[in-house]
Parts: sequence; structure tokens; C-alpha cells
Amino acid sequence: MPVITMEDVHHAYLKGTSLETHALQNINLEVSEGEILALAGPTGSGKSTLAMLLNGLLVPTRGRVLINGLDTRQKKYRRELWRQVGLVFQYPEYQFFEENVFKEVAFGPSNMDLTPAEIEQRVTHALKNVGLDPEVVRERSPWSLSGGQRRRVALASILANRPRVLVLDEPTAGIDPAGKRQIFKTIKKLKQDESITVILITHNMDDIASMADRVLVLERGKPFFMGTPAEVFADPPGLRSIGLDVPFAAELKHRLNTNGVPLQTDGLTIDGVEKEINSYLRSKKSVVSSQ
Amino acid sequence: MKEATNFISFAGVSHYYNEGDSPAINNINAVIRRGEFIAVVGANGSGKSTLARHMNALLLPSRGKVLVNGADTRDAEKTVDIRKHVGMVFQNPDNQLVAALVEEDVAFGPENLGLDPDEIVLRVDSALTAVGLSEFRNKPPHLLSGGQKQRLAIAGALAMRPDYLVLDEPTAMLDPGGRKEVLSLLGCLKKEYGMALVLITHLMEETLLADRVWVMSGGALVADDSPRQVFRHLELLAEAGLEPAPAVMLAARLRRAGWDVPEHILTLDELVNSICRL
Repeated sequence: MPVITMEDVHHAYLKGTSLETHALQNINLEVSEGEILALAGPTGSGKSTLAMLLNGLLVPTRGRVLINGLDTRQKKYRRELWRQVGLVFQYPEYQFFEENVFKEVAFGPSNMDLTPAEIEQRVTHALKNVGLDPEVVRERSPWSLSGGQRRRVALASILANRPRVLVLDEPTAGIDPAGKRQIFKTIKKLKQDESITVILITHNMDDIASMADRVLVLERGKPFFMGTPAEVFADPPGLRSIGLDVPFAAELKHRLNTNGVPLQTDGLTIDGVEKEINSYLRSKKSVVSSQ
Repeated sequence: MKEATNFISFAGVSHYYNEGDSPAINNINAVIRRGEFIAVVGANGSGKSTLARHMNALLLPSRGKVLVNGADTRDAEKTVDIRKHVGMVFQNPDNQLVAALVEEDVAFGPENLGLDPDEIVLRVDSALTAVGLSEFRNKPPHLLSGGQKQRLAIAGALAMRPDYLVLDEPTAMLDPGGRKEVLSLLGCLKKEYGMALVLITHLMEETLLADRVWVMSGGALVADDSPRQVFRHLELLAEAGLEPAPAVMLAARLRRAGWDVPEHILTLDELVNSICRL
């Protein structure tokens, strides 16, 4: 059974009024356990609406959303849905309310019938997973941290709840390269070790290339494309036409191909293209030297 | 015009948020001249935003001094004047928009300067033209896209006719289209208005547009040079917790693999050319 099922999902804001806006239309989607699905699309394409449909913050105005079989329209499942689906919004740091980082991250676990030792363990683990040193930050006010550090604390506070589905809206915007590597490493580890399902909303095509199993591209609330990163990034003009881009490696490969350097790879990361360039150059030199 | 009125200078500037803490910025010495485009990079917590907030007296130095066109930011009587000279734009455009209509939002600053209505209209018109939002002037800001909202926030700053515009990660939350809109606008502001720009960013590609790159590390300014020079010092970037722009990184790896790829490569175009020549 898929972890997430969306059947013919529509969502309209202010439905039935003159201001009715169709934020999402015709969404059919199944996401399996342990899958990382990236959600891409220009501003206003419906990504955040889709995210909010995943834990019942919004319910579809047509069709249905099932999380592990639980229909989000049913109020009795609300608490269970909030527990299973962890949402990290943009600017999550605006929601801080505790006096120090420890309490902030411990808030969710503290409401879960855990022993103090278990809470401590979850907080420490979550902070490490976002690349923060628990000893250094635990007593500090979240507000005394830098912008990027605050964002990591916010992510840690969701991870500490151990959700089964993690919805991340631009999780690495404003975060430095080391922090970003740490966060992505954590996401991959959660996927591998605990089969967590991840919905990754991002404008960063390189992140999609390196992280996602599949990508859903939305445009004005409708599905524009669904497939693997390699399939999506095979169409740079299509993506550019809706204000998106392709990863650096895909662009480089495309440019080398048009300049007579035939790279076979569908590798979308710098590592993949690097290998390919190396072997191309080696074979070219060996041809030259054998002549 | 006296020479002192043409730049922002930092002389031995340190800032402590709390006594006894280590400084958020430490002994900064630097100058921003009119018409310069400076990109500021650094890991989270390296002091970038603290540094930026010293440029318009949002923060005051604990030690040393900051002069804006000759005025000391610690002089409270100069604060209003300094903020007229130095505009600020932040990461989240939604927090920076205050009015119900686009044109009212842009007029907000000039109205508070007590300017005459004709002058206000003139400034709003030219600011909206500069950012390419004239056709949206009677729309509510919340109907704009992310890139448009951020351009509107920039228009609000422009209407104050600043000499310097400081932008703290203005593109972090934008889609690629919105990011391009904002970046091309910055290029145009520098070229056509001779405005000094300070752009804080985590995206190394964006620094390639700048005249100079400042690298912050642990509160200190550890490099102040052209992008080409800064990206030659990969160890320095690594120590600061940063990665070079992707073309620079790949060029360095190919060099390490023994290929004759020149050290000065910055852009995708340059990288493609050099690979084709091998």
C-alpha cells in the first residue's frame, strides 16, 4: 500500500465565493514508503497547498487524500495524521516560542508520553542530524542564533517527533553548504534506515537531481510533468518555459554535447559528469597517441 | 562633493550581542564605494547579517566605527539621514510589504520623508519602472509572485533614492525565474544608477556578478577580492565552510585529475570552452 495516495484531488480557496481560486486540480499521486518525491514548480503553482493537504491542514474540495490508508477528511484521524506527517514550512523559525533550543526541539516529544531520558535522546539526536552541536546550542535562545542556524533548529524540532512522512518546504534555503550536506545526509539516512517517506519542495534543481527518486512538476495547480529526475531534466526548454531551470550538470552535459563532446551519461550530478568527462578525455587522448 | 561622502567605511568594527560572548563580527576593516557591487558570503553564523545591519545603523558597533558618507552611525542625530542613504532588503518579501496596493507600498517611505506629493509620484513612478512593475501599480501586493514581491521590496527601497542598497539573501526563497528577475534588476541598478550594492548570498553563482566578494568566517572578513581571485583560493573557501561555484569546483577536480584546465575558470561557458580545447 502506498504511504500517500491522492485521488483526483482538487483544492479551491474561498470556494463558492466570487474570489474562488483553484490552487490544485487533477492531482493523482501515489508515493511509496521510503520514497523521496520532489515537488517543483514556479511560485504559485500549488506546491504549498499540496503540502498542507498531506496532514489535513487543508482538505481537498474534491477527491481524497489517504495517508497510510487514513482519509484526511475524517476529523477523527487528525491527531494521528499530525503525528505521522511532519511539515516543515518556509520560514519555520517564525514559529519559535520556547526560551531555549532544547525546549523548542523537545516540545513535540514532551507531548508523547516519553521518559525524560528518551526526550533528551531524541533532542540530541535531532540536533546532531541538522548539523548543530547539542552542547553548544541547547541553552541558547533560538533567537540568538543566525538565520541559517534557526532554520536548522526548526527542522530538528520536527525530526524529534519521528514522523513517518516528512514534508520539507525549501529546507535548505539560507543554509550554508556544510549544513545543507548534513541535512541531506540525514534525509537519506532516514530514508534508508527507517524508510521515511519524504516530500521535498524546492526550487533548487541540483538538490532534486541529487536527492529525489521522482519529481512532480506543478504548473498553475496542475501536473506539468511526473517522472524521474533524468526524465524531467531531459527537457530544459520545457522547464524554462514555466520559469524553472535544469541542474548545473545537466546544463553542462547539454552544452558539451552541442559542442561536439558526446557525453553518454544521464548522470545529473557533478560527480557523474566529472567521471564521464574524465573517461571521454582519456579515450580521446589514447586515440590521438595511438595514431 | 567631498570625498568622504562617497563611501561606507568600517574601521576596526566589532559587535558583541551580549557582553562576554565572542564577537559576532570581529575587527572589520573595509570600504564600500559608490557604484560598487559587493557580494558577501560565509557559513551560517559567520556574521554576514550582523555586518549588513551595521551599514544603516540597525546595529551599532561595540568597538570601532562605521561611517556612511562621512556620518558616524553612532551619532543618533544622523540615523534618519543614514537610512535615507542606505536601503535594506531582506529574505522574506512578505515581511517587508506594508500597504494594500503596490504603488502605496512604494510610496510609504517617501511619504514618511515628508516630500511633496508631486515628488512622491515621481519617485514611485521611476522606482516601479526600474523594477518593471509599473503595470501592477494598482494591484494588491499579495497577488504578485515571489520574484515580483521581492522586486517590489526593492522598489520601496529605491524610492528612497539610496546611494547604497544592502540585500540580505533576497533570492533565497525565489524560484529560478524569480531569482533571475532580481539578479538582472541588480545588474541594471548598478549600471544605470551607479548604485552601490551589497548582496548577501549562499549561492556562489550569484557572486560572479559582483566586482568584489567578501568572505566572512567566524566573524572576520577573511577575503576581499574579485570573484576570480577569491575562487582561486579553494582552501580559503573550504576553511570558511563554503563551496566554490559549480564550474569552479569541476574545473578544480579536472585539474587534479591531471587535465590542463586553466585556474581562472568561473563560468559554465569558460568550462565548456576549455574542455572542448583539450
